[in-house]
Amino acid sequence: MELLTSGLAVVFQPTMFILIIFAVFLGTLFGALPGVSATMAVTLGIPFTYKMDAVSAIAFLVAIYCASITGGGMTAILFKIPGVPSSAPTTYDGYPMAQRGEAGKALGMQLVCSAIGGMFAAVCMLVLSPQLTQAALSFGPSELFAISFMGLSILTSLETDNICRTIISGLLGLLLACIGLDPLLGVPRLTFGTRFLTSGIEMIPVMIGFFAVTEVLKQTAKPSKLQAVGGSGNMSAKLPTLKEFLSVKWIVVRCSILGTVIGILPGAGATIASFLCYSAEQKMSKHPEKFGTGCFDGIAAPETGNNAATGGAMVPLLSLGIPGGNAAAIMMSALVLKGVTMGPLLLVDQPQFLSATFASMFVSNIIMVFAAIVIAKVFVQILKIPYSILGPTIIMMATIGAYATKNTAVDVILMAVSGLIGFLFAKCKFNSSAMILGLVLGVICESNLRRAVTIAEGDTLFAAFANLAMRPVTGIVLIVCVVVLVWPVVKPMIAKKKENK
Amino acid sequence: MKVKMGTGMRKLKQTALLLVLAAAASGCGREAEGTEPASGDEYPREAVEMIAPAGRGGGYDLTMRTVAQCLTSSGQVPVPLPVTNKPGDGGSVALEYLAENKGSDTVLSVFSPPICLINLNGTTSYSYKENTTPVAKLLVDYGCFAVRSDSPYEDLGEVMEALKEDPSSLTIGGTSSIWSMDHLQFLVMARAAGVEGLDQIPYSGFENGGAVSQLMGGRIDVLSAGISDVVGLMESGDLRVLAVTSGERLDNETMRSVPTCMESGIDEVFFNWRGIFGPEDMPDYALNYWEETLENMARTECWEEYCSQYGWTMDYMGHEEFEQFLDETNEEYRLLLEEVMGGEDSQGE
Repeated sequence: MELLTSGLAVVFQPTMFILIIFAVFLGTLFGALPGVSATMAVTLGIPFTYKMDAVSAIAFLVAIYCASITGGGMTAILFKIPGVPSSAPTTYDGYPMAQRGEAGKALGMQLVCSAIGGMFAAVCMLVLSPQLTQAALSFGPSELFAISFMGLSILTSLETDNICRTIISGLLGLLLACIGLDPLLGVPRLTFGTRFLTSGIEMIPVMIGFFAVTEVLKQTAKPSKLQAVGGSGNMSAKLPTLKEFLSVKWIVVRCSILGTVIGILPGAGATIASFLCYSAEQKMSKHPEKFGTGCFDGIAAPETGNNAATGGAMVPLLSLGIPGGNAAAIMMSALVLKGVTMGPLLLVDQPQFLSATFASMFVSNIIMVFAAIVIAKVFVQILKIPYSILGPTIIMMATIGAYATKNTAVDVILMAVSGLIGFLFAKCKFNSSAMILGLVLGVICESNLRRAVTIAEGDTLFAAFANLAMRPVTGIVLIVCVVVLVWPVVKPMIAKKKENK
Repeated sequence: MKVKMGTGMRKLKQTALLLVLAAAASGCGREAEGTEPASGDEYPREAVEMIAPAGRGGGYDLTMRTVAQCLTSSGQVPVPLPVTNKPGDGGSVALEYLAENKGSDTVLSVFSPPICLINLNGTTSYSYKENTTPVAKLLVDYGCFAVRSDSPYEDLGEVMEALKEDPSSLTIGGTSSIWSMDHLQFLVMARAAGVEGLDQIPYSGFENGGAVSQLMGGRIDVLSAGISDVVGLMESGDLRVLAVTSGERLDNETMRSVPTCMESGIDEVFFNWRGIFGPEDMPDYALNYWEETLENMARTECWEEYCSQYGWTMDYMGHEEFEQFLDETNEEYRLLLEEVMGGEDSQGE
């Protein structure tokens, strides 16, 4: 209890409180910029911490981190541009809602779910840190593979009436994920001898291309839809009514837990959390067909999940000094530069790190809702700008975003090509969401599966695989995956047979 | 309406400001082009881009930022020295960038053994010899080998004994990919200890972090990594560091208690040297300028303080000496890789 008050004391110092409000605004805006991922938002926040002490610095950076994940969801809903990779699934349902003129409602739902997910994870972090740490350590490559494969298994149910093309799109994504250096051996694969491809297909430029650029092309080719976006309807963020919120309460609970757990896993993070939450909720939903058409459930799931992952990511960082994800690694570097030795002794000697992080997370998630409402008001105004101006502006932002990921022009070309391919995909009724899913999860799936096989001993490859499936978590998750994968394909066949009878 | 316009405008300004911020922080708009080498007298006239071939927070990043910090705060270099991170593929992205900027006098990068290794193991076709101009070696860092504190192994010799009996009995993990730094660091020691079948020792690389948690979770048996990766967990007693790769014990509070490999009966050292490289065909005036500047910097108190803070051993070496050192080292690595990887090839046939 003393701890908690000491943490709150740090956060509620007048200067620190103003700084946190500032951090939340900064984070939300950074998150909303395409290409500025949460990791980058935290990096951009580091210069502000040079004059702070270590505890304030982590409180400040955590606030930016949480807010940026939320900020990304706002542009995902309004412009179909996921500002951060983890808000890509939010576009599936958020953008259709915005097109129907319900942008305000979608934003409100997104904010409330984000805040609850974030706060839930913060509480978990404070109370369950030691247990969660143990859980994190017991997850190895094989478990990570199983979990990311589960995210992939949603492929067959993304668009059930067009299953063949969806699977092809997903497999194309997996193929793209193979391009570049072999993750374990470092040998170039499928690069056709050009050095542009050796670094592989970067996720962020492809995502920006497929979502933002494609959308601009579509709007240009068929400007009629635009009216729906810019048209009537209350456009400012509207907090959901109690009834609307109660309809997603179980989703929020489940995704908070799932998101936190995925957040603590090394190498997973918010992106996997949001994809997985979306797919898990679609599976469990009583009306899976509504997903993707613009329903609250489809916004609540990924947004709760990715914000819950932020709290999870802080657990191994603070309790072991092992960063759970890229953003956490950046925070760690900021602390190391301040002369803090990261490790299990950190929280023993200086428990205020944990309490300050918790307090900052909790408070910034609340401030975030209000900050985001203000920012959303401005964003929604942007929608009123004629598309002849807005479209090119989006392209400009997308270009900057693609360049900023790695400071290379190759990524800009990649973004442009992805945009065109995305447009063709839409014309030919291929599913670009499935492709992105394959690309994002493919890399993680592959490297973890192969590491797992290296680690699991077995005389033959088959024996190694069998050993893998014997691990309890891996085995169970994989069985669920198979069921999830096959069921949507088999179900219509069974239905047909019955009809024939 | 007016009010709305106001917020709109402010927002636009904010966005513009943010964009500038983002651009500045990410280092765009400072394209290092091969500008006309007007005359060496006035060099440097514009900002020199400092490349860290990895993301924020790693050894590369820390080295480059420290160098830039020391040079600008002491006023030794009058132009800005922006540090740009170019992560990817163990440094090959940065190496490629140097190759693109052939002949430029406004770009420098830091590299360590992987600059040789990524070429030798086939990750990239660029090499230090053809695509860079080595300017100076700055410092040496060391690696170490760690196990969980409940592990039966008390020193590195016991680990090697176990591997001598069965090379595949233990899984080694590290923070770099296979056939790169951490892997070789271990293999060098194993070879010196007389382990046979080096290619059969399972190695798992966790380039994106997580190697330490794999060790703690029991999925790898021995971790081969940098000292900064393990120091926190060693202090808390979760990990036991078996040996450091240096010739003598490190002069640092926590690491002093850790024996060297030599003390464990393995007569070998492994250096993680770091040096500054310019692009291929770097103009002579630029090379001379930087060699001199870095030599001066290596003597400053600022540099000394940072080195002791981060546990680096100062080890300055000028252009010619460094080039020679690289040739020798590269040959050493080549032979080693041939020996350990060659086995794998013949096995496959």
